[in-house]
Amino acid sequence: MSAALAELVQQAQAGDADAFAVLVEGHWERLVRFARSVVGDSEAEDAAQEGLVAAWRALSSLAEPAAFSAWVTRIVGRRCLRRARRSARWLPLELVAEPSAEADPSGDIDVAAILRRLAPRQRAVLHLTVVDGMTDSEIGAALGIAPASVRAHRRRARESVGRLLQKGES
Amino acid sequence: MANRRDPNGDFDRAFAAWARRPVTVTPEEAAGRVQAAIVEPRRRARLQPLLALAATVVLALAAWLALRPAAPSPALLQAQLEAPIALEEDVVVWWLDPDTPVYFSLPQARGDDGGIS
Repeated sequence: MSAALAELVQQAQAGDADAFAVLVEGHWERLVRFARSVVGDSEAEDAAQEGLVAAWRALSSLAEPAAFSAWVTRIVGRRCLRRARRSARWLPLELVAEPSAEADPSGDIDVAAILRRLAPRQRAVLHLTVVDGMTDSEIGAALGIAPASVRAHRRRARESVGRLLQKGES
Repeated sequence: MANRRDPNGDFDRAFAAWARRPVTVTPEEAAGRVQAAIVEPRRRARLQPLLALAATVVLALAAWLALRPAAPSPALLQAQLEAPIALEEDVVVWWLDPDTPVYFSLPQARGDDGGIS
């Protein structure tokens, strides 16, 4: 898999747009799901597409073709964090819905509302941990931060989630 | 004790299920969109020198047309031919044919040396 991936990346680095399209197909769903956790449903696909176009432009700077997945995640992640910061500037916290059972008639946990209450980087770390099952060093590489920072973000995210869940129950 | 809830575990399960909802744009559509976004600027960039050259040629042509000396009109040429040539007092012109004038210069008449009277 990684040999085939590296070969596609090398072809794309040589200017083969079709090879890059294959890479996009292989990474699209994972990147959109990651973006959804960080910026929400409405902006996720735009952020992922924007990141992939930026990745194409910066492809020559990727020294290790096999590291494409982490590298493209970092590019999309950066776009998502930028978008999340921009929208946070315009959305006062009071307007962000409190997670509650009312928000989800099934009574399940209102994941979207909880994520909106976390800092963007905490959402990213939590997603890569819980959904993609990545290790701290993989997450660090994907987000461009140290593994110790990954652990700190996750710990804070867990604390916030715990508090929000308790609030939702009470 | 066995029934005690694990809030983190509950959240992780809910989060994983939430995150795995289907994606609206299919990977094939996304690849098409990304390809269109990356190929179009490249094509435009390739055409840019040609477009710049064409624009330069058009501008140079327009400048030459605007600044070149105006060609005299046939009517003006005719008028110039028909206008009497201003000659000095002691010059005579003979036209051998319409295109060939011959100028004769007469010596100055001086009153004190007994010239032509």
